Amino acid sequence: MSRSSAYVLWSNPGNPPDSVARALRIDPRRFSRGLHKIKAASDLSGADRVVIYSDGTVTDAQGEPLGNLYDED
Amino acid sequence: MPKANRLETCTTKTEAAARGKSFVTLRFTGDDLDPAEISGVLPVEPTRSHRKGEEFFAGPRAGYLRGRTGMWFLATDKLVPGDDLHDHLAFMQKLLYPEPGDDHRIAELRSLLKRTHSCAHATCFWRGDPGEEAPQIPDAFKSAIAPLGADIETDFAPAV
Repeated sequence: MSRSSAYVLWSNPGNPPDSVARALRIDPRRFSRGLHKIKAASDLSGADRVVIYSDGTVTDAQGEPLGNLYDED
Repeated sequence: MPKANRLETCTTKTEAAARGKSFVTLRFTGDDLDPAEISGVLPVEPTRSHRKGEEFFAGPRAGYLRGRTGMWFLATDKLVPGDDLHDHLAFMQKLLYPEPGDDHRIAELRSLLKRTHSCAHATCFWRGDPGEEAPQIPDAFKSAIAPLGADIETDFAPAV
């Protein structure tokens, strides 16, 4: 997965604000649903920190890829 | 585009956004976990499963990723129609207890989790409409998954 031109939209614990969903042009509810599934499927809790990039990539705090929000519907 | 078609498009987008405001997930994780063993107990195709270190397809954009631990993961959003969280919880409960009083799947899972030093976790997702009250997790569901030692994480938020 190449993130060469992607930039960080969010890098915090917990649920991101709707502005992150809007930056990705994803409906906020779909965004929340997708992030919840990516975290749960990666054995992370909602409180765990993840990094969200402008190409939809989600990584853990160590930079390990967990999924992509555009893959979730 | 004729007016009728434009309205139809708007309705479709609205419905798509409203869809999927509730679902439940169940996962079993552990470095020694073989997800095929969980699938041998629970008759449903998992949303994602892999052994520790195994490559799996995470989606067209994410591509192939490597499993950080053994995982059997199920999300109900593609399996249960509707947005009532209780329907999603009932589906999960029925999966674990196919008939009232039939706890053979729970017993097999407990044994498997103990042998493989693995854990169970459940999560509940809900995004309410404006003014809507957050649902409660029924005691019956809490009791149903208690034998697995599973925690229940809630991710509830009303619309603003």
